[in-house]
Amino acid sequence: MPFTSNSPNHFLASLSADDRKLIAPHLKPLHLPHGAIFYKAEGTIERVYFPHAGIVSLIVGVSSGQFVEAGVLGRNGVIGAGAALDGQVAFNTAISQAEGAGTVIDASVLKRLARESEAIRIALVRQEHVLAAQTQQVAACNALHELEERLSRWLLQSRDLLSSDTLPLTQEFLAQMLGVQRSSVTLVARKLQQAGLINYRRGRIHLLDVEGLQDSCCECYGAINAHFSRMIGWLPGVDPLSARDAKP
Amino acid sequence: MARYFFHIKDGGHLVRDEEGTDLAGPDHARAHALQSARELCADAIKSGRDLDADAFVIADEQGQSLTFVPVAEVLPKRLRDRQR
Repeated sequence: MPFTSNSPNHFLASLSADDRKLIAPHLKPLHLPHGAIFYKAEGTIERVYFPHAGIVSLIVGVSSGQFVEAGVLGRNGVIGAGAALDGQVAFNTAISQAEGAGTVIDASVLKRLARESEAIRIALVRQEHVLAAQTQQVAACNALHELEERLSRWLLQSRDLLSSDTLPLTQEFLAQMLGVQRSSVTLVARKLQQAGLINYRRGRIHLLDVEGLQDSCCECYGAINAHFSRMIGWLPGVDPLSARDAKP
Repeated sequence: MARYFFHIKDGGHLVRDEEGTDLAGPDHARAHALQSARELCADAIKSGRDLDADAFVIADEQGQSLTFVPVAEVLPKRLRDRQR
């Protein structure tokens, strides 16, 4: 059952038994294939999504057609939490970057439940807060840090959310997420590969040396994790799911 | 639309582009290579590091090399002239 205290979604798992009882009857399963758009920028957010697996990127586009990722969430977050807090108009596009699944609830229902339970309301506010913290860190990172550091951060974040050392990612996709040309990713990926940190094969990146990647990334990876830990009590590697999947 | 591959010549090495990009034609492919070259140059200059690319070799889906685009083409005119 996806509705129990050991829900793979950190938000649901963190709720009290009473609050879970409020939410559980309204949750519906959702499968989000690679490339599926959960909501579009400027559109109305009708449903709130609690991922159990997969990665959802929050991307911001400009009129030239280019876009860049402003934040990324998976089972550590809630997609569209703001819609239950009076923010129904999306200011980014939420797109599934890896086969994902989870549960959804109507935004209007969650909004009502958030009025009934202060704890749910506070948890949603924290969720939006930690997302804002992430996007602010990413803004600084995109403006100030080199691609090698940013790419390393991205790979580590994705690994944490997917609990896997193999990431189904093309260089084209990475380039789009990081807002750079694909050739730049090709050269940085080669550098990481030569250093023995990753192995890249058509559409698949294997992380070979996680500690090495942590050394090659900027402080933003640690800073984002610190925000998640402090605000919502989530840290990669210590949550039940990744502990279960962790290699001995 | 056709798929173009942008292999990167780095000294004696050729870093192969395994994915390719769908583009409208050869002119677009050349423009794409120039745009990539601009970014590689800019990053190298900003970081103070050496450039790890000399040129793009644009190839078609059959593996046939179509054009050779030196990265130095994107240097501002004054810098380019001084090189000669």
